[in-house]
Amino acid sequence: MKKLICILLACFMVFGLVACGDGAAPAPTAQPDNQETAEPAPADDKITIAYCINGTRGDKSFFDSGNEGMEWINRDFGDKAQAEVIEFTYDDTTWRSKLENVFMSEQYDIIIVGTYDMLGMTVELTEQYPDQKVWFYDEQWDFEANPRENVISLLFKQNEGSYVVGYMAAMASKTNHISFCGGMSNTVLLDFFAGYQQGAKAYNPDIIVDETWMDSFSDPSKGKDVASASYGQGVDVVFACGGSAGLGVFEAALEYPDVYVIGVDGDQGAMWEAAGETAKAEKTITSMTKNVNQGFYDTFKKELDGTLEYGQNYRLGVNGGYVGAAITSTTENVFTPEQLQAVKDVQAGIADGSIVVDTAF
Amino acid sequence: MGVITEIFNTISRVVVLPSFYYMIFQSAAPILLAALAVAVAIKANAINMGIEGIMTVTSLVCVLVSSAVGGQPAGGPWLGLVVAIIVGGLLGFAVSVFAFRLKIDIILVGIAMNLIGTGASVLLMYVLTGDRTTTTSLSSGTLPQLAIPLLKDIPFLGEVLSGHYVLTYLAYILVFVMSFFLFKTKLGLRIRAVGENEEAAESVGISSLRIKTIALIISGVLGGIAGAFMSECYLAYFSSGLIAGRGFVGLAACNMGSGNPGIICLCCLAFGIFYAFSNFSTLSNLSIYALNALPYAVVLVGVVIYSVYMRKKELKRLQGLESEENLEHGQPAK
Repeated sequence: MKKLICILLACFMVFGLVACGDGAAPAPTAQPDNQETAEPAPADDKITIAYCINGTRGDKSFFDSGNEGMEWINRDFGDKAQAEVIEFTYDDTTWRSKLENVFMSEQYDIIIVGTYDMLGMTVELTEQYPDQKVWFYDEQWDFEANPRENVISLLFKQNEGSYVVGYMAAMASKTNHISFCGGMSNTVLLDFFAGYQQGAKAYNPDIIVDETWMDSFSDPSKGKDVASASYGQGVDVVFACGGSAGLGVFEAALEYPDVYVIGVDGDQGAMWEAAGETAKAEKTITSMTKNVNQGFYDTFKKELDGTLEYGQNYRLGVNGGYVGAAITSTTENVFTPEQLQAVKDVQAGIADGSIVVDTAF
Repeated sequence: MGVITEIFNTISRVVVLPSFYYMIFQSAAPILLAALAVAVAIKANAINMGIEGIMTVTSLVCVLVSSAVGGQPAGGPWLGLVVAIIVGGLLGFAVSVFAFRLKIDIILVGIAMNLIGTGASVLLMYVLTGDRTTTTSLSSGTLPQLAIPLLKDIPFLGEVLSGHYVLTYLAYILVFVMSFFLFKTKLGLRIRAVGENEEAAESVGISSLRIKTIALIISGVLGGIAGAFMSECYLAYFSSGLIAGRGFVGLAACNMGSGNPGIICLCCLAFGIFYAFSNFSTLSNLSIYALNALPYAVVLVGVVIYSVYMRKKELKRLQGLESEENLEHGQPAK
């Protein structure tokens, strides 16, 4: 009996190894007659980019959008550039050593890394490696305190996009009570809220805007509960703003009549439509799109032209289409053409500077 | 001062909402299932630390099975539940094999189960669906919500008690079933006998190994139901952060209730009350971190109070024994 179990366990472990290996790379890599693909020659003439994700692909919003940007760069500039995506996974204890490895390898011309969690270690590493170009995205880089000639910081003006969807939320609300459902309270998320609240109040000064937090970016059941609580208290539009935890908000919306959700980062209405979840698509009146893909792509074009100046912040907003409100068939059903025109006017107002949006930075 | 008025305002606003009470019952249910799963094992002196991992794996499995057979219209969720129960039972059996036949410390087996559960579920999800965080691309459906006749027409109570998912009702029914099972059946008695004193049980011809294995399989089955609850009731898909420590809270609730299903149920409901409260309170003066830590803090405080109480009780019992002994020896009790 014991022997049998031992053999079974051994088989299980071998299977486990094979399965793990399969996930990381296809098994037949070392084919002697196919050396070119097995070992890509170090491309001296190509600009190599490492896009470091402190998570994994598949979040259906933020990281996936950046990944798409890398794919665009490889597709359109394949002869000049080679972009790679490195996943750090969600285990935050390993992020520091993984990022240090990327810096130490000196294989990459440009390292793209971002979010609030990575700021501290990137500040240190960029000082140790002053020749390494780094694009830091989605969090303010204080160039006065940490001047770096090798760093640019890409900031998405989520407050501008949030202003637009906040305006739309107030338009769609019949109870005059809407809410913001954030992941964790950091400056970027507070920036979302600042714009959202201001936009809603711009349409209707008397509207109540609740601020709720899920305290998680990964647990959708918490998102569902927080949103259920809001809907149960008479809120009829929730801005779901927190990675995959925010997906739970859509589940909550299904259980209440005449309530809506606003998605974030990607066009989540289109995403539900594509996944065949029409019920959720019909609840999604719009999404505040944060086009990380477009941001990376355009920045890379500047890099190629030589017009990219290091050592400063780039702020990507409604002007240029880096943030905005997605229009789906649901949007067109819920809003009248006049209302949609008003939304366009608001966007134009932000772009030309006649509307100044609050920020948390 | 502001904080206190804020708390009172929130309480007064929330207690009149039926959806508040609804959330208490719903959010307590998966924790209750996990706690009952741990309770059966603990009564047989086998700690099923791996409940979190078992829940993670089974919640993925039932989504995969359900979508493979065609989702909601084909009755996929029910089949998913059955498979989750079977897989849960197998995982419970695996724990017993590692712990009792291969003599690995049962705590370590539990930790390993939790680590493998998170890792394997993400790997499995990626290999089979190509997704890394959620299985929203699969349409796996949910188990039905039950509208209870008569009850659902009662104004306030109907909204609170009717319309829950099948497994929510099952969780609360299982409290009675498990009480009956543990305290009124032959197998339950044997489980408790093995848990109390293994040698004594062996001396009257009970195979403690067999009883412990059975207890862990039952524990796994309940863990499977808890897993299915998360991905087929709470949500309609699996996500890598879905279980979010509910198995561990279940472990704590089980310890607070000392493996007694009735008390466990009360502990879980207490957790549910604070959990729902933290979700219903909107921000102005209250710190979100304090609010979200509240349910867990309550569990912690509960465990401390309970263990202090138990120690006092034990001391009293020992003192009682002493005085009885004194009486027997003809000396007056002090």
